[in-house]
Amino acid sequence: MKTPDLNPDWVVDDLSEQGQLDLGRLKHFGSGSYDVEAGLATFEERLGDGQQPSPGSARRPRGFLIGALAVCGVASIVSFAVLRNSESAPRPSARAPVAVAAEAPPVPTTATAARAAEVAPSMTSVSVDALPTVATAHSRPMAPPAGTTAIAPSAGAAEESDLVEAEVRHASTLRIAARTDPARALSLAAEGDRLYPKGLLHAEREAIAIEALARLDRWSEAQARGEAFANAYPLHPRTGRIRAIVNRERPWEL
Amino acid sequence: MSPIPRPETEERCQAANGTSVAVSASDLFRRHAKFVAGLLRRLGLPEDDIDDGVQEVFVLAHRCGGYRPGPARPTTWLATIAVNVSRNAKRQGRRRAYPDELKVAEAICDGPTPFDRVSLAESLTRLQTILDRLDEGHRLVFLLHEIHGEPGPAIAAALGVPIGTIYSRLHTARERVSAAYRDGKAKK
Repeated sequence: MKTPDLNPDWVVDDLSEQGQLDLGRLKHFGSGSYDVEAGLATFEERLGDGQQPSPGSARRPRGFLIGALAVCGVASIVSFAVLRNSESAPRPSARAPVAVAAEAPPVPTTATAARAAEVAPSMTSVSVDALPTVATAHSRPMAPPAGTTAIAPSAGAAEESDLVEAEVRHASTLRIAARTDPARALSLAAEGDRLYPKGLLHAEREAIAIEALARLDRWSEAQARGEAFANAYPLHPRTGRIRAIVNRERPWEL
Repeated sequence: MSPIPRPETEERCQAANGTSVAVSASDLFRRHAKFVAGLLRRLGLPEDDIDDGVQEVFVLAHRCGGYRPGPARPTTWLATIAVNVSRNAKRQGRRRAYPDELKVAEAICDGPTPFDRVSLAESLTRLQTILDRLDEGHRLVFLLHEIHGEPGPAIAAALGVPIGTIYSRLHTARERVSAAYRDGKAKK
């Protein structure tokens, strides 16, 4: 402490041991991490853009902003007018052949697409029906591309993969429910733990359950489970929110 | 009492700086960017906004004509700009995110084990929780004096308030911090 004019021993007198430790650490690491050289490069670049040190220069951006807004306004009106004109022009129907100007030919994945590719004259127009389809989760298993060797997964691995996928889907439902319906989120989280006892997303479900408990004003349960969570998963992305809940704050209101 | 520098506006900057020789903007940045980053973090600026906040502080300082030696130190002078930047960020809706102190700790701590880093993160979180409960005036004085070791007269000169006010704020802030630890409010 640099000032002798104040009582420098207040820390010793008044602050708990924990407080002294925390304060000492903040003093030691007070400036934290900051990449000065990178920041300086950005700063000098900004200064190089014409921001000269003059007491009156702070007023300039206001005028610049007004000008920029005016230009944006005019541009919006013009683009709106162009859009209106283009909308009023006759449009091809949805099922009509669509001109595709792709440099590389699309990879045909169906027989229809293959036929269409044979008939199509040098990529001028292709029917929508002939366009390649995108594989979805339900279209598995996919045949391996020609010239590659497929690694046949064992039955156990496939089962495990299905289980993980099911757990991920369940967690997705849980996250959606957590936004609007804490009671349902709570029951879904419990269900998830029951269905996937060795699952990968236990921490995620537990964090959602804790927040749901807090949102239902079941603070004591939320705090108890929150403390356990913060101890068990200090690195989890939701730990900050959980600590806030332990302190009876309401992070979902921010 | 001589005119008190209050670099919150251009006019005040101008009045405060008088005719002394200004410190170069790059020098000021090089010497004090870390201090400003740390202060902004503890004033409650979200971690993602720290880089932008530091830039904003130094650009404003530059537009004000830069720092010129006077009763306020460069650090306390920059602190008054930083507090305005932080205030503006909050006003614009950039509310405090819950900081990932562990990430901060990992960046600044050279402790050999993960336990050291977690322990440091916990300390920072605990103290930040208390700092967040102090109002802006008390928090700024506490940070400048207790954490950064700035003397009272330099803080008073930068903030443009009587020295007695600084001591009073410091006293109150210390009491509140001590009380928070006594009452266990600083639990994670």
